[in-house]
Amino acid sequence: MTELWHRLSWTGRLSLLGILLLVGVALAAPWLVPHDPLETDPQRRLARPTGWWVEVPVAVQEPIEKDGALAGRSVADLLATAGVPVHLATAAVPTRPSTVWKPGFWLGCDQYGQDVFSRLVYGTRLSLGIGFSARLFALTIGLVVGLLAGYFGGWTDWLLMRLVDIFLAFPSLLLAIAISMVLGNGLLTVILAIAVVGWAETARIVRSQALELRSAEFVLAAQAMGASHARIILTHLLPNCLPLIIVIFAMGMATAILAEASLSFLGLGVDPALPTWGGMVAAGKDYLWAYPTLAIYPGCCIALVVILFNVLGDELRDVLDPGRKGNWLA
Amino acid sequence: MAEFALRRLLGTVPVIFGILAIAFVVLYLVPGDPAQTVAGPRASPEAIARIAAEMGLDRPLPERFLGYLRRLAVGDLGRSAVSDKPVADSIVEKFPYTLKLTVLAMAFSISLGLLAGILGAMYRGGVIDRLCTVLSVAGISIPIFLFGLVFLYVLAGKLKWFPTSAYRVGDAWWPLVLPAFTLGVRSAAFLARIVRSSLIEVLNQDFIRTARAKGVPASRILFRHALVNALIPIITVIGLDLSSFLNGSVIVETIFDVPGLGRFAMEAILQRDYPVIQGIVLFSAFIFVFVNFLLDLVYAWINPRVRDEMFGQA
Repeated sequence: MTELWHRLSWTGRLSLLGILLLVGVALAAPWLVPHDPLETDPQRRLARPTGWWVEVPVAVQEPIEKDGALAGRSVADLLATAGVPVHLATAAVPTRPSTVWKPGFWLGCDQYGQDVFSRLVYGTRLSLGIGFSARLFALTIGLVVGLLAGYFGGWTDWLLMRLVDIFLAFPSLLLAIAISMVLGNGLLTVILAIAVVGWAETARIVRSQALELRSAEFVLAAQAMGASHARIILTHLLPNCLPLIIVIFAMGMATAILAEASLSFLGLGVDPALPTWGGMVAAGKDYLWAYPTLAIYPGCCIALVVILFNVLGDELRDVLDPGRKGNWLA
Repeated sequence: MAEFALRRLLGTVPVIFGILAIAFVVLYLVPGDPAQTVAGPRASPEAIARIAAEMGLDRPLPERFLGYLRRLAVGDLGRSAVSDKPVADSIVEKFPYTLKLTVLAMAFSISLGLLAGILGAMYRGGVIDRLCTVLSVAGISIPIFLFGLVFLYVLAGKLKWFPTSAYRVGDAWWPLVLPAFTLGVRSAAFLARIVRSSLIEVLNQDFIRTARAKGVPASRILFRHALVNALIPIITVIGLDLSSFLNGSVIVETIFDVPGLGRFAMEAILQRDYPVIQGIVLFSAFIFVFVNFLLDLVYAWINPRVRDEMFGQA
């Protein structure tokens, strides 16, 4: 790990730090937000950004009982009816200040009066979480298919690669849309939809690597010594694909996060009430002319994360997989 | 070459079959009864059964698949569940807008991408190269809808250089310029990276050094020797763009109100109009297969080695 760090250029290190920071934000989201990201308030609808602290009036004192004989009566009132002199009754109840200072709405509020900053912070969690799960899923399938196709070759390869071709032939967004149509909206659906789109590309890259390794001398030696196919694949091919896997994973995170954002933007992502960045852009789009920042801030968050992953992926590729440098598509 | 073309054509058959099967299965798995949708919410069970029989929904699955293939063969993609218009007609009507948008976007992305890539390779390591690299990373990473919204807000809204909606575009090209630019940014950035790295690879080879030593002018080296050899990856990117045009156009057409296929797809998705969605998915998948077929022919024509490689393994 330290060796990798030393081999990375400063842009690579910077992007790695940035990503770690964002992961920290995602994990610590509940302690970082000044407001509940789901709390709506019609009075704050489309409010402009405020300062760090705002003075808000204290909520009206709660009546002691909702209904019944004492309904709607304050403590002082009750003391007074119990025969306590008025000046004592009011003195018994400490006078509260009429306003308190609360954290402000640093980036304003959206059309439901939800705090934009808090939603952005929680969005980190959703964006990274969904991207990571989808990538892990896609990587697993792609790895299995790619290793099998590359190692066995022949008919297995032909069949699996045609399957890959079919999946690559669908426009990825439409395929994801079709999947979310079948399975309905939901977190798992989105993860699955992105994974189904991503695995084929992974399988193709892993296959070409496995194809090269298959005729490597150490593999031939293992075969000659009677090692089983499973053993060769797991102990010889897989570890040799590891650098490639790391690179694919970093690059794939960028694609997966973009895909999630696009699906949410089109209203096909997770529950639209959840604070996803893509969903926030979609909601903000309707207020573009008067409140452009509602769509621009979450959009910039997406851009930032994707840039970080793309830069890191590039740098990792240069370090871990120099042979493939530049020619990533082939 | 003819043999190559034929073998490649045969290779598309299983892919096309798979696409058809998946599209059919997806539609079959979609929740909700199509007959119920056609009959309306208050139809009696008898009416629904009658409509189901008319639509062939009561037949066994393999028979339905065959019937579906037979209808597809004559270009019948079914009717919209919302407007009852034949899906094929709507696609024919809307496709030209998307095609125009795609062609314009390609023009932007090829010219910008080539320019940035060549500049980056020529001034490798310099300020221009750095600038091009930063711009291309940004272009690849920034979501297309953010570009779209920012362009719409600044260029169309504030500066009023472009119309804010392309809905009444008709035969004009002008309203499509901004959407096309948005659609093209990403692939321009992609192309710039590929052009730069493949040019650098070629420029480091011996024959380039020989040409330079002979005193061939730099521009001639660049265009006659280097660029021709960097053509294959460049064509790959262009092909990827062309075939996945629908991906971006769904978003771009939604933002800029272009009355094309992408917006049509989006409307169908929002209304759960499954026959339309299926038709569009099939249509674009076929275009993808066709474009890839053409691309492979172009590869083989440019580089005869590809022909042997492509069927070397199988």
